[in-house]
Parts: sequence; structure tokens; C-alpha cells
Amino acid sequence: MVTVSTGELAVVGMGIVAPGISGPEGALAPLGEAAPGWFRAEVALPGRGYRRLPDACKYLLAASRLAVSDAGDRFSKTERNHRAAAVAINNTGAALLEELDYTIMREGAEELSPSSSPFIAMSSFASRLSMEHGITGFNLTVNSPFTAGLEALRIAARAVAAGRARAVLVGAVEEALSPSQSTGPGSEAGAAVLHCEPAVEGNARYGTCGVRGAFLAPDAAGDAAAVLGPLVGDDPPGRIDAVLDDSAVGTAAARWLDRLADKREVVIVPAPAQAGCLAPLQRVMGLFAQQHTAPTRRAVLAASAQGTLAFAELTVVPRTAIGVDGEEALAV
Amino acid sequence: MSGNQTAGVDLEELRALIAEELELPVEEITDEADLKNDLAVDSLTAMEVAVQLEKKYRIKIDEGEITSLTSLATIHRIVSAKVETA
Repeated sequence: MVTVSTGELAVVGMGIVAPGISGPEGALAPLGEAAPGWFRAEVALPGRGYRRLPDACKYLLAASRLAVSDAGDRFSKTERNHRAAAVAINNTGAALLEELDYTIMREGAEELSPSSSPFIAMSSFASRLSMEHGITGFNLTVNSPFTAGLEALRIAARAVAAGRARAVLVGAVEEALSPSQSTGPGSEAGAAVLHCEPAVEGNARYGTCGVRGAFLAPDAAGDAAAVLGPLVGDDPPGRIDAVLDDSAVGTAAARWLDRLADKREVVIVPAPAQAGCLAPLQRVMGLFAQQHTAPTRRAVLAASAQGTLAFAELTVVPRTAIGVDGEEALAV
Repeated sequence: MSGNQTAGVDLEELRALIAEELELPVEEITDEADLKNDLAVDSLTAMEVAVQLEKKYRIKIDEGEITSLTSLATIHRIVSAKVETA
């Protein structure tokens, strides 16, 4: 079994746009229902050029604005070719693709909107994010069930460690599935973005994180200890939030984590419907937003039914409430 | 035919359509304002304008013609000519 690890990232800004969640401090709450009108694009994205974008793209841009703003003007001060983006998606474009398909079938391809048709390519979400923030270093789209958000963090850490980027917007974005695609309620909608930089002494406003990955074959889930042990390590953080479904892999992971429950706080988070990738990054954000008086280790584990595991280990820096102007009221 | 209308294409109606597509107040869409330089219209938005013109006036604007859509006055002339020959 190989556990792949990369360097550490400092998280300097955070932004989230999701139903029922008003900010990073509320990101540990379950997502609310994506009722019509939950997202007000004209408020979140004032100005021209956004109206015809797919909603998911608007969520991503709005969350990125919040994250960049939260960090002050650090992103704009970074050279463009050292700015980067890693964006996680899974169901993000599914409803849009269905809508575009219907337009083509009923009215013809010439009726497609020039603004929304590029989003047939799922990399367009990250591309639009790059246009928004003048990113020319690189942008990557990570498309995988459940784990994509944490994998995006890992990719960002690797790129930063390699010197390819000095500021990375790491995001996860999802859009609710259409009624014909959805197998039940609860598909995710919204976006979370972390503004990350190299972990240098003193710059980790919220804390630092590193991500490891592993693979637990579904038909070998009974041997979860051999995979999860090295992945989580000998000294697990004080709290582990695990986003798991009821697949063989998810069930095995939950059972293995149960062994830690007498010494560590283990929070099992029901996996989002149809493998949305927002929840794990949302948990990372929520844990970073918690207040502590001393450096505090936390972790988020995500597992897909296909066997992909991602484990983000966080060190949350001591800080207290964020003031109304976005500054920490007190940093220890 | 009034001065604002050529071959059934009402200039004010056209102004309103372009203002809507460019997300700008109607007053900013003067007859001679340059879409690219004065109103910051990019190529994608220009394509959106072309698509909406095609829908509203039931005309065809070729891709190569999109760069000719430089101002309201020009668009009015082009659309009017196409409507006349349609």
C-alpha cells in the first residue's frame, strides 16, 4: 500500500456560498435545501458579464471573491504567473449538460447561448475563475466523486512545493442535479474556496494543511486497517470528520475509525447524495474557522465507493472571533 | 417611415435589446458608441448580441460579420438590410 503525501499549504482566506450557510464559521452545518432564490447573483456578483453564466460558475466566482477579499489584497499582489487555481467538481455540470442537450434536440445547436455552451467542457469553471482573478500560472479541474475537493488541495500543495505557484485558489463547486438525474433529495449546490499559499512562518491566517491519499479496493475493504492505519498515521488529530457513504469502503472506514473513538473525536458526516465533492472541503473550512487558544490538529477524511481515500490533516492556528471588518479580534 | 425606423427595424427597440444584452442603461447605448472601445464588449458578448439579433429579427448573421457589429448605428444598418432582403 502506498500513501502519497505532498507539502503543506497555509490557508489565508476562505469563502463559501451555499444554501443555509452564511460563512466559514457555519460551514460545519449540513447544507440547506437549494430552494429557488437561495443565491442572489446580483448581490454576490454585481457588475456586468455574469448574468448568462451557469449558476455553478456564479457560485464559484462568488465564493472566490469572498476568499480573496478575506485575505486582503494578497492575491492581486501575487504575480499573475504565480497565481493558480485547482477546482473540484463532480456533478457540477450535469444539470447544465442536460439543459443544453434539450436545447439542441428541441431547437437546434444554433440556439445554444454562446455564454453557457463553453461549459460543455467541465474545465470551463476553473477557466472562468482564472479569467476573473487574472490567473496565468495554471488551472486544474479535479473531477472525482467525494474526494475531489481534498485532492484539489493536495494538487495545490504539490504545485506550491514545486514552486509553480505562490497563491492558489482551491475550490469545490457543485450544482443540484435535475429531477431526472437525481435519485433523491440532497444533491449539493454551492461552492467553497480556500485561498492558499506556501506554509511560511507566520502567514497561516487560519492554519496549515497537508493531504494524503490512498486506495482501498472495495473487494478488500475488510482489510481497511492496512490502508487507513498508514493514511491516518500513528498520532491522529484530536478530531476527525469523515465524509462517508454506506458503500463497502465507507462502511469499512467508519468501522476502523470507531476504534479511535475512545481517544479521538470522530464525526461521521453522511456523504452527499450522488457523490458530490463539496462536503469534504466544506468540513475543512468549518474546522479552520473554529476558534482555539492553542494550535489544534484536526482532520477530514473522504472516501469514495470506488476506493479512493483522501485525508486532510489540519493545524488550526489559535485565533478568536473575526471582527466585523474581517480582522481577527484577537490573535494569540 | 419615421427616422427611427428602417425596414421595420425600430432603432429604439434595437437600442433596448442591445442595452439588455450588454447589461447597460439604455442611455449609454448612443448611436455611435463603439461597442468594443467605449462599452467594453468582448467577443463572447458580441456573439450573444448576434444570437439575440438573429432570434428577434429572424435573420442570419455569419460569424465573420460579428466583428462588423461595432455600434448601434452600424447594427441598425446591417439588421435593416438583412430584414429587407429576408
